[in-house]
Amino acid sequence: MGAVLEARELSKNFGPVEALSKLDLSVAEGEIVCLLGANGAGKTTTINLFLGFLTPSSGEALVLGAPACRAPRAARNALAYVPEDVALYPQLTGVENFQFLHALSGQPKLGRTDSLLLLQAAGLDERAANRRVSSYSKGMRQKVALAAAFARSAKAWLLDEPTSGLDPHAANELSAALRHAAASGVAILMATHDIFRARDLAMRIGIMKHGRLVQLIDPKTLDHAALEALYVDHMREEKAA
Amino acid sequence: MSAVFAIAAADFKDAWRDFRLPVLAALSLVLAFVAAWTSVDRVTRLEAERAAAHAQDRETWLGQGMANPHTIAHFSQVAMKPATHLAAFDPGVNAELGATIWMEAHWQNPANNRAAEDTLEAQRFADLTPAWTLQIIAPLVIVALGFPLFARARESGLWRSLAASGVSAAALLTAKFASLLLLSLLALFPLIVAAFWTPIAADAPAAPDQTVRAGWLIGLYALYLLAVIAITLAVSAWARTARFSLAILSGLIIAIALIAPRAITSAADLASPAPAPQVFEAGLREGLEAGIDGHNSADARAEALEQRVLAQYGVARVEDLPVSFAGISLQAGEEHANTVFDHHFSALYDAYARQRAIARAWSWISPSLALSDASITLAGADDIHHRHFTAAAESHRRTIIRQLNEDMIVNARGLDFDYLADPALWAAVPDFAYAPPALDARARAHVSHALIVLSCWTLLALLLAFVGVRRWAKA
Repeated sequence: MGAVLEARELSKNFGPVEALSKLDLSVAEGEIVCLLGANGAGKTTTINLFLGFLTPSSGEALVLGAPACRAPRAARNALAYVPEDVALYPQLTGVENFQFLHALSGQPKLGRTDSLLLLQAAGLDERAANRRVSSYSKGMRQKVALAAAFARSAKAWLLDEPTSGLDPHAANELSAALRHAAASGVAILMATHDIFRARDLAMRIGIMKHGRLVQLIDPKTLDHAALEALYVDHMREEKAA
Repeated sequence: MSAVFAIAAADFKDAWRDFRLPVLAALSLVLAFVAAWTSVDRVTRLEAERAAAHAQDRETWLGQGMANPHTIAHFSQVAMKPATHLAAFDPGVNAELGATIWMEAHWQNPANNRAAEDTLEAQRFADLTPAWTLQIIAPLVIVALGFPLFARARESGLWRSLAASGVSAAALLTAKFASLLLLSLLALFPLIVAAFWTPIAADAPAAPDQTVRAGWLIGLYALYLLAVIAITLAVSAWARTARFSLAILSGLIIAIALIAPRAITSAADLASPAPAPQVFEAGLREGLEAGIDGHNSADARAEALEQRVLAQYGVARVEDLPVSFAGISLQAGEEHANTVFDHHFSALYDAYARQRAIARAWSWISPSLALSDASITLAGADDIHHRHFTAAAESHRRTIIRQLNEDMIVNARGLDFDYLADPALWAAVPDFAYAPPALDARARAHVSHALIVLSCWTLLALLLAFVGVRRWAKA
């Protein structure tokens, strides 16, 4: 399996602050990689570098082998991005927002029936899909974004704290959707604080601290408790530092 | 292209469903109705009054019976400026400059019947005309529709999703421009219809180049609205929050559409002041005192004239002249006075022209001022057209007085002011018929200036908007 996302000695400085330091990481087709870490650990910076929102200070963020900063539009066309808090047009219905997001990808227009099917596949029933988004919960908005990510046939998904604020049921539905996407060959890179969700979903987990990837773990080798202990240890060291 | 259409369509639905568009369209409908109705009524009523007054004036003139021509010259006629179709759209400074001129002997009167003198300043400010609604109300409507287009998307995080989806800055700007243009056209539709309908419905004479003028007005107002759309997008693209965008845009529109035009025209009045009416009249009287007035036989100039005329006819006494010396003296007084009037009125209108030139130069900071400056010219309601009307009235006054004086010269020998002319003389004096001029070089300069200023504002604002969008798309 080829790497869809690849960071090579990827660094980003904001003035004197080193937000990301020499990150080496790749995410292959069908792989789910979770980045764990406290706020400011460099998770979102990594995602922004893959999206081409930021230019690396050194190193490269490659999407399908091409540097994202040099061809950001090509990189973004290959990616689907799901932010922590999905923003949609509040006065449009779920279906209309889905069709809007889908149209941005430049793919052929989807009819209403197909749109509803994709939304249902993402966990949003027809009744909810026909309501205006102003009445949606965070999880429901996320389902619209996930359905749009499915529909645009992106090679990789970048998710920034997707489970933050979700109830357990919505988080489980999200996990199911991500597994389904990975099974269809999508490479998924997810930044999260949620150790248990990461353990549950990821094929590899990266622990980040002060902009550095301090450990890359195969979650099958650790149970939840061991992973939590490892993560807490890293966080304690960070606080002590 | 599908992304551009999708963004524009989503913005449109959002504005429609959150009631911004319906509320603003309803407001626009009410204003359009009031502006069109009052403007058509004003011009139609004024034109009807003018036509009736002119007919009555002519009837009175013709029915004067036997009288001394100089007595009739003092009574004389009144020149009335006709309203035009386009003045219904933009009445310009007609209310300040006046619409009727009494064409009496010895004196060039300024225009009277100034509507501005009969109304309070506050009332005039509230006068709704189609031009005023497009210059002031339309930008506010555009701002109310467009202030959140970029800023709210950025605040909510939608911007990030848009940028992450691979939409280019150019496509994003094109989409937002298209959506604001569509929203503005729908919300302003009643005002635009009123602007077209008002001149057509007004029962008034047409200018000779009415179609050309209307074409320029349509072009300049369209460009003005595009400039406001571009400014709105530029501010929204740079503002961090929708609230900040609204605050900046509201302040900016108030500054460039309301405050700057008034401040600049007031400053221009100060920089190149026109004389106060009393000072102006005193200047005229002083100029006239230096010459003869036709009634003062003791005047040194009258004495010189008498000697010249006696020599011309080869006689020693006025009584021996084969013509009326009183008539000759009256006409000589008119001709001297005419040079005084030409000098002072020319200086007065030059002062107005300088004021406009100063205001025009400063209109670079206010597209609204540049537009209104060209608008009143195209509507035939500015100082250039007023000067043309006063020149036509003055030329007619001189024709009347010369005709009456020449009749006295020929027929009043020995009788002078006791001579009574036949009423056929009054009928021989032509009626005053005024036709507004076609656009001249000076008028075209005002129009060209507005075109350049509005184009520059539009392009600069679009460039700023593009840089703002690209900056945020990267950040």
